[in-house]
Amino acid sequence: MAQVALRNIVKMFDKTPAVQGIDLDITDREFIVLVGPSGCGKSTTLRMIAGLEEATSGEIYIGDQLVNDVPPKDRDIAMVFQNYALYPHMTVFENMSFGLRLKKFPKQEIKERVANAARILDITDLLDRRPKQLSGGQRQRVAMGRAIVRNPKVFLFDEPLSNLDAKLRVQMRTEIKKVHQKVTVTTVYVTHDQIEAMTLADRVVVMNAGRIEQIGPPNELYHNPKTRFVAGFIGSPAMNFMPGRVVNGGNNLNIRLSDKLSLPIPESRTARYRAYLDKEVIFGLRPEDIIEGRGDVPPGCAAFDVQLDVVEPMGMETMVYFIVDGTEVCGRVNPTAAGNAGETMKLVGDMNHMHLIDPATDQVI
Amino acid sequence: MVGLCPDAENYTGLLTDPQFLTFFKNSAVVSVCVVSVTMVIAVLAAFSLARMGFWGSATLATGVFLTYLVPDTLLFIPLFKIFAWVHDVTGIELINHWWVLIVLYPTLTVPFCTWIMIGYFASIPKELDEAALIDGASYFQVLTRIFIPVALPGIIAAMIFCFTVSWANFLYPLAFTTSADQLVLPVGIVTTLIKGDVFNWGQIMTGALLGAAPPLIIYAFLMDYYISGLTAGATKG
Repeated sequence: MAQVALRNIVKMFDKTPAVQGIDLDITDREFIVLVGPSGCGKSTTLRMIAGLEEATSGEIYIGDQLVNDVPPKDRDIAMVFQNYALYPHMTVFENMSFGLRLKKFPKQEIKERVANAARILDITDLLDRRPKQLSGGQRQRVAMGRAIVRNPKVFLFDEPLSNLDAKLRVQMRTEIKKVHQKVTVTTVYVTHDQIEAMTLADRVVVMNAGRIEQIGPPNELYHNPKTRFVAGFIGSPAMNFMPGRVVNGGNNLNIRLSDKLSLPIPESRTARYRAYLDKEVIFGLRPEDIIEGRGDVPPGCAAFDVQLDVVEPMGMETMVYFIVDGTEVCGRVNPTAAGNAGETMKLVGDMNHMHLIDPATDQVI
Repeated sequence: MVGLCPDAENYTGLLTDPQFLTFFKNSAVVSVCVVSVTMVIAVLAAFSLARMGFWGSATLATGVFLTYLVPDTLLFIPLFKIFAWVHDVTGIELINHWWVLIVLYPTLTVPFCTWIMIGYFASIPKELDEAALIDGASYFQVLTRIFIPVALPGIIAAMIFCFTVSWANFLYPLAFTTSADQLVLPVGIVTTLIKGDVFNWGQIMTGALLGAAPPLIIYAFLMDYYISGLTAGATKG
């Protein structure tokens, strides 16, 4: 059990920066997810915590110990890899006990620890098999088992679910959460999948181009993104962004998106956006905040008519796409209310959940 | 005269001839030693070149291969000079001893075996050694407990190659050994069974067949390994 701290970590590959100054404090037993697009430096950061990459500058602490010059084997960490990295010539039991055998644990204790981990992961029947006789999901369990038996200070997961098919991925995601509830160890988990990040994490770290964009609990990132990148990255389908201008609309402010479409900004936000009056901004609204218009328009919402461009039925909901001043915008409507492509439909935007972004800084206002 | 019926006379003649048995023994000892020496050097070299990524390792790996491209017909004259120099400086006589072949053959086998093994080791996923390093293994334990078992087909392929080269090499033993008791099989057969212009064809052919037998037997038993070694990395999994 330990906390992990990164202090101004920089990693250069030759002259290309991969990580450009990261500060991160992970508390004991916390489940942290590093999420971001390919090449954002999240895996490199994880590998530096593991000791598989050397930090160009900065300090890494595990517990109270500065570990920059400590080799991986002495950091008391365990790592689960994307491609499982099971030793192909060993049985499941030998794979899981490899670390303990290297450390010369007594045979009886090794057996007990492996049996215990196998019970947690429900792989007791597989202990005599070899990796190639296992399915993808079973291999992933074994890889996790290998980490659990070591009883390390920190678990590191490097995109552990990316090699699994969609259905199994959801199943294993739940499994990982369960395991973390049973074996509460500080965990750093890397993924490019924001749904994995949201569902697993105590706190999510959104990374982009080698820097941390925002750190926070999943719901905070969803409701209060600090930058355009976070706003667009968290949530699926992604938030709609439309260029617009803040204009005076009588008693309150309006956001003008096109010649035909202006939406009222709720009064509660007036003070916040006043400084941007008559300025170009980017208006952001999530698809789930654009729904079908029925009956009265609730307070803080705005109704408008659009011509549907594409309609995607998903079963429990239907995605509707329409064009606002050249930008494609997505809404999530009830399947019974959705029209067909080419038809006109009345939609309602929940302006209480709107975001305005300063195009100059890409920061959420 | 060529007999019409096959008979075992040539076999019994050769197999009871102490000289022929000496050639056979010399060849066997040289080959086994060369295979052992080569494997130790080549496996360690390939592992460090393929994985440890030290400064200049890529250039060194190419360099290793380039040395293999130098033909032994070019090398034996300078080697002769070196041996003479060693004799002058240290007094150790290297010429006309069968065991000197154990030093000479690795100049042919080590570069090639290292090269095959670099390729084979490179096909092992990097996460495998990283997992082992995190599990607490040293680099040497990664090599002995992960790499060697996983790369066994490649290692066996290299061993077969190495054995064949040292068993069948003709030029070096012809150049460096002369006394009958120091000869190895390929040279021994040619030099002792051809007497002036009398070619003892029956025994020459028998000797060739007996000489070809050990590699054949090894190939037959290890063929599956050899093939999987040669095609390593061709397909996933």
